[in-house]
Amino acid sequence: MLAYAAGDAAAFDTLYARHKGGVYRYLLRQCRDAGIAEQLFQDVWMNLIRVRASYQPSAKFTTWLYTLAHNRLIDHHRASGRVTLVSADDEDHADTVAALPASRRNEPESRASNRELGARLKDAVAALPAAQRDAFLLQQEGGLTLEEIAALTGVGAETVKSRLRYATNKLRAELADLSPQLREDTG
Amino acid sequence: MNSADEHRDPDVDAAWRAASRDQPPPALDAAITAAARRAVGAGPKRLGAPRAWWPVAAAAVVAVVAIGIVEMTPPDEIVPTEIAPAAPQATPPAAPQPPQDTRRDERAAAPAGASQPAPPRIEAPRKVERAAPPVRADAPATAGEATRGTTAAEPAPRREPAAAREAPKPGVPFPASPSDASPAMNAAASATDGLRAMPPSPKARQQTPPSSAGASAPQAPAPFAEDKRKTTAGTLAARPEAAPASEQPALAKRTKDGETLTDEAQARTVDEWIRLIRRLKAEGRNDLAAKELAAFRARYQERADALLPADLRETKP
Repeated sequence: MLAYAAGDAAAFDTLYARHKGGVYRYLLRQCRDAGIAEQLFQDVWMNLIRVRASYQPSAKFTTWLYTLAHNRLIDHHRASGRVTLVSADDEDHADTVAALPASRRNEPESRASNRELGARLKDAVAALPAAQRDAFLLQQEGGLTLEEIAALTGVGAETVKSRLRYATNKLRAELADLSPQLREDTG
Repeated sequence: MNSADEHRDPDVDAAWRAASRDQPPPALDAAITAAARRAVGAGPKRLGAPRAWWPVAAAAVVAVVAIGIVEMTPPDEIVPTEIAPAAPQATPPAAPQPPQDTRRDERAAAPAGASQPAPPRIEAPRKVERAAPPVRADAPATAGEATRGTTAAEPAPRREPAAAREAPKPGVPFPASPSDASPAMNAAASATDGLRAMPPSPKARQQTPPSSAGASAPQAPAPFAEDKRKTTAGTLAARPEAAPASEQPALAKRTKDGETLTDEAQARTVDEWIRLIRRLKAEGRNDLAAKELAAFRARYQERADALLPADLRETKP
């Protein structure tokens, strides 16, 4: 990033090639709309280009990049009037979690369709509470640590750990009946 | 295994990696990378390019200014180039005098019958350049040739040697035009002409004994002109008193010296000297005329009789 800020266009190509997929998927899983995700994705990178001169390598570039994406996503949710990333990860928010849409595993049509593994997993992630999904996606797509996620989202590390634990348990339960197929496909 | 890895499920992670392989559209990639390149190319490069040229441009400007200053500063090159055109321009101050001067010359020279047509003064500088080399005091020249040459070269012998002597002095500004000359210099120049063209003032006649004035007359015209520039008209009249006859041997010595004689001859020609003697005689200053005649004979010695006209040849000092 410092090289690009100094005028090296090739450095940007390297950065973009390394992080474009993760940022795009992070945005796509959060907003669940490809068109909106592309718009947000472009906004994130344009913002990065615009503020390149003010970049300070105080943190890992990936953390800074996903911070831009996270903030852009929050702005989008605020602008669209949707509920933002709610901290529905622990017992204090049990009511909120109960109010979330049920997993598609309970939907008869979903069970009957026997969709592919990838689609089911995506649906399972999409069914996660927003805060858990956010932490899960930051961990999976951005490769961020607990501390980095905590710093990015503005919560404590224990909170992030709890969110990740909840998300992982739900996804594991979602994929329990597909475990043999999952192991076969991914193995 | 860090704290984040504790909550990772290998099955979930593997399934997610297999399922989530979405990529942004290539068009979006192209748009973003193009924007990034534009930003880099239009931002820092555009600002950096002029900065890269600044030192080169500054060095070029400094070099040009330095060369210009170096070429302009040496006074040795400036003074001659300014004097060369200024020398012909120095003649106009004498321009108002010529008609009077010519008339008096004609009146003074009437008995001799050698009427001298006064050429226009404007042609004088041009003729001087052509006539100057042959006009040497020791060169055999007929009266007619001398008349033509000296009449045309009248202003030149006075000004050119003086200018040539003053030229090497870089610190002394030479007036490029008559208007630039100091009043003292103009007065001195007028007085120089006035010695021939105008009768001396009564006061000057009283102050200047004819004998002492005559002693200064044979002096070389070049110092004569130079002295005129250095002194006012009033001091000019008194100047002959300060010029003792002891300078005459020096003049004779210079006459024999070929190098210095050239300057002397260019300063006062035979015809000019003859006209001066005639004018002095016409004004009644016979003793001064006799001194001038004696100086003439001393200068040209055995050729003096050949150079002098008949009326002056018979006059013995």
